[in-house]
Amino acid sequence: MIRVLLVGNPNCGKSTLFNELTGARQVIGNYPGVTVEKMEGFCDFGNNTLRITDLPGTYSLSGASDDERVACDFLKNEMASSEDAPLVVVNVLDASNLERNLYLTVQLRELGAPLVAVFNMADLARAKGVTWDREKMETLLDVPIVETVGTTAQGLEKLKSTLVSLAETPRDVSPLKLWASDNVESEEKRASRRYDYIDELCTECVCFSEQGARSWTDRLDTWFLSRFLGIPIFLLLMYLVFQITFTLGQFPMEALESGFGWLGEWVGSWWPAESESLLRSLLVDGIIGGVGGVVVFLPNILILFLAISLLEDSGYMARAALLMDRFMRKMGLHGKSFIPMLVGFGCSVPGIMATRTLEDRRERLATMFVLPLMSCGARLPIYALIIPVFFPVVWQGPVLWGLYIVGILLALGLAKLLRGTLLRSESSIFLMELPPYHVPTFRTVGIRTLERGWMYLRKAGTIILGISVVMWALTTFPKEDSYAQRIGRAMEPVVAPMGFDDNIATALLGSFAAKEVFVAQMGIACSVEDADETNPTLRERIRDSYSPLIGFCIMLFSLIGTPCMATVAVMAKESSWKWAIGQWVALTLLAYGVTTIVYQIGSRIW
Amino acid sequence: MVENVLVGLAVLVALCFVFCKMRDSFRKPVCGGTCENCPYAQGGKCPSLLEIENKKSLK
Repeated sequence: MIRVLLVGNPNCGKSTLFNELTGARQVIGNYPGVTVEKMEGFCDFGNNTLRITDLPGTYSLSGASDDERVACDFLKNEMASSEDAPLVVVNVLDASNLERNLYLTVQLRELGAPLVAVFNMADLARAKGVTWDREKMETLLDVPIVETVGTTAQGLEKLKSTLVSLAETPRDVSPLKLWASDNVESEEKRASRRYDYIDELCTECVCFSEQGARSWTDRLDTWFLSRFLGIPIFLLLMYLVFQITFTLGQFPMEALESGFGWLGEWVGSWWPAESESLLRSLLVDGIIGGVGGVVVFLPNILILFLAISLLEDSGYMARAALLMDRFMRKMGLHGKSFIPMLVGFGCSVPGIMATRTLEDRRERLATMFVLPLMSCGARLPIYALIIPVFFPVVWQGPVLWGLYIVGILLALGLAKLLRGTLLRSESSIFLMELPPYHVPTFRTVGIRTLERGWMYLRKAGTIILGISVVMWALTTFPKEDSYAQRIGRAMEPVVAPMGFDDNIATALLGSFAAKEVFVAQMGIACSVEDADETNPTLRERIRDSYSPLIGFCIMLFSLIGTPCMATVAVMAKESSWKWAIGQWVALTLLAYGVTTIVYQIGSRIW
Repeated sequence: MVENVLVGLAVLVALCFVFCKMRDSFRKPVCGGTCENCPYAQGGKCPSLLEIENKKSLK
């Protein structure tokens, strides 16, 4: 067994190398800070087994942030470990940014770590006009260097053989000394000495050609980061993402809908036509009507997350963070808040946990508080149910786009209010490295999309199935005046100003457990009430019962209000119960206010 | 009759399942408890989980 540690700057491709070496499926993002945990995997080479650990990206071993401290402590512990297995540290460098990446290499050399330097993304570096004299650099640094292209697995066999030979015949390498051991200098002076050393090294061994200096990345950034065009391009890209979510998703969604319709009829045919069997109703109305109503939107979920993964992996999302930073700072949020918010578009729970990277407690609280306003994946089935019912194809993308924008604007406005009142503090500065653009890899994008789809199906098959059965029971018993009807009637006066009836009120109540339950409960209510009729689909039933304005108000309320149970729980854990309840009440009141205003004004106009 | 018993059981199981899921989301770390790999873990445990345990021990 050989212990291998992967260390390197954020976004230098460590996790891609890790996945290629171990066959793991670790989440990779083309923006810094994706790996916040150390990951472990195994790889066989000849008769040897490599135990590979991927550490969070770090610019230095000075330990300024939590991530850096984790990497630094782990490295030192492994070096001091009495374990029999030999240790090799693999320092992964982004070859197109050698000067900056070499700082960590120099620190690792100072520690005397048994080191292999990997010049990753060698193809991109050459395309940028960066070339190097590998042999000379190996001699000067006293470290073997392997060139790789992580995305195509180029150079990996050479890397494995280098690792094995280094573990079998350890080289006697003395630690690099840039100052006398009795010299007590400040960390600043030491950093300056390291940079001087790197300058000399690069002058000797690295050549930057002017011809390749203006790379594709630079050319694209003149458009994507343009002061005037940056934001319109971002908005246009988002619009395209939402439009294809509907246009491409429509056919598989309709096919699934027909499939569940057929399944319901087939299961129903096990009983005589006029049967009032409770088991039939549970299976057909409760389970197939409820869970099936949620599962039919799987294609839309897959398409949306495929498109977002493509944007992330290409490197565009890091630009989006930079574009948004200007607004975030104006609203008193830290630029780092964008990454948790981006995560929040998938699910608020990991989004709130990702705010741990924010050092200032008040900035963190403000980010957590507004994070549920980022429209999460669980709300998409609600939009996917309602938008095609009331809006023509050309308007479907813009309406969804508009909802996301409303969420973002409300989040920024609320953050501004909080940062100006309850959570006032100085905004700290934000530094973010912009990764080069690259063609998204099929593996990375595919894994992320399928994982998201699997998560959705798992949720539908567990908690949504459970709640569907409970909701079916509430909708079915007692037969004359069911509990759901009674709850709905009790809530009706409260929700009437928003244009909602008792069915919508009950479904919204159920959506506190999980947002998708709204769709499931509407499906159950529709199936139970129409059990004797021609069995229209849920969308046909909604089209017949409600106006487009009410449809829009349902989406608006779901977007803004009542963060789900898991969000409340994680908010309570990460802050306090006071903040969690405050957030729930504040967002629900905000949703109530905004939806009521929209409905009251809208109903007078149309 | 058998069908009604089956339905009753299904509703009972669903109720228990939903209750346990809800309780767990307030008692267990939402991340899935991969504390050994977590940079925020203190002494090998999630800060959230430790806080819950501290509150319990105070009681």
